[in-house]
Amino acid sequence: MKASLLIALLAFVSSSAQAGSGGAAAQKAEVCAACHGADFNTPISEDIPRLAGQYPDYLARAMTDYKSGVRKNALMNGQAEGLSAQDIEELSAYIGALPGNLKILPLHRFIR
Amino acid sequence: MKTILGLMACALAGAALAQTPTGNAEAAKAKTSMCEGCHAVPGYRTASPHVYRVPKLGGQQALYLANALQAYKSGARSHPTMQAIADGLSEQDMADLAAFYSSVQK
Repeated sequence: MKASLLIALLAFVSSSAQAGSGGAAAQKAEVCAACHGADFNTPISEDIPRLAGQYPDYLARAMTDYKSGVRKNALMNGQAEGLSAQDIEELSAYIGALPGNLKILPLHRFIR
Repeated sequence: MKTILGLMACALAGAALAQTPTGNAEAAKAKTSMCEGCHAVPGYRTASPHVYRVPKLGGQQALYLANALQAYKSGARSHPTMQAIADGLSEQDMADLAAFYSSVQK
């Protein structure tokens, strides 16, 4: 009985630890999702950018500049203030890998 | 005379109300050449003041794009290339470009 309980407990701890490490970025991104959309492709208003599928290095640049205050936005400066360099890397990689509407318009589209 | 003055006042008020122009995606097609040198090149990196890939614009939100261009023009947002480009854009140009890039479907 004790052994099975211990095994169950260990299984629970290891599964929640896995969810913690695997979903760390997803968890951190929950705050961002409140405005940028749960899928990061449907922001709550038109002045808020879609982020899903954006280049991770661009996202990191934006967050870093909001954090330092070089780029100004009342909301984003406050949000980015508490992010570490690692938070920014993880969030950028996570959000940039999500599917979304953002795309590059290739040059041939402009040839007319 | 009074009527004419009244009409002029109405016209002026109308012009003031129309401060934020409506974007015309079709008209933007004559203005995208200055954007495409960087934003149409997959993986294109800006080198100043930091190295990173320039953002994807297709499918982005119209108001966000127009606001970004206005912020570059006013100097509220800084990037040497983007400030130089936005400096030459009218409010109408910005609205048109925002309409064009945001109208792109998946």
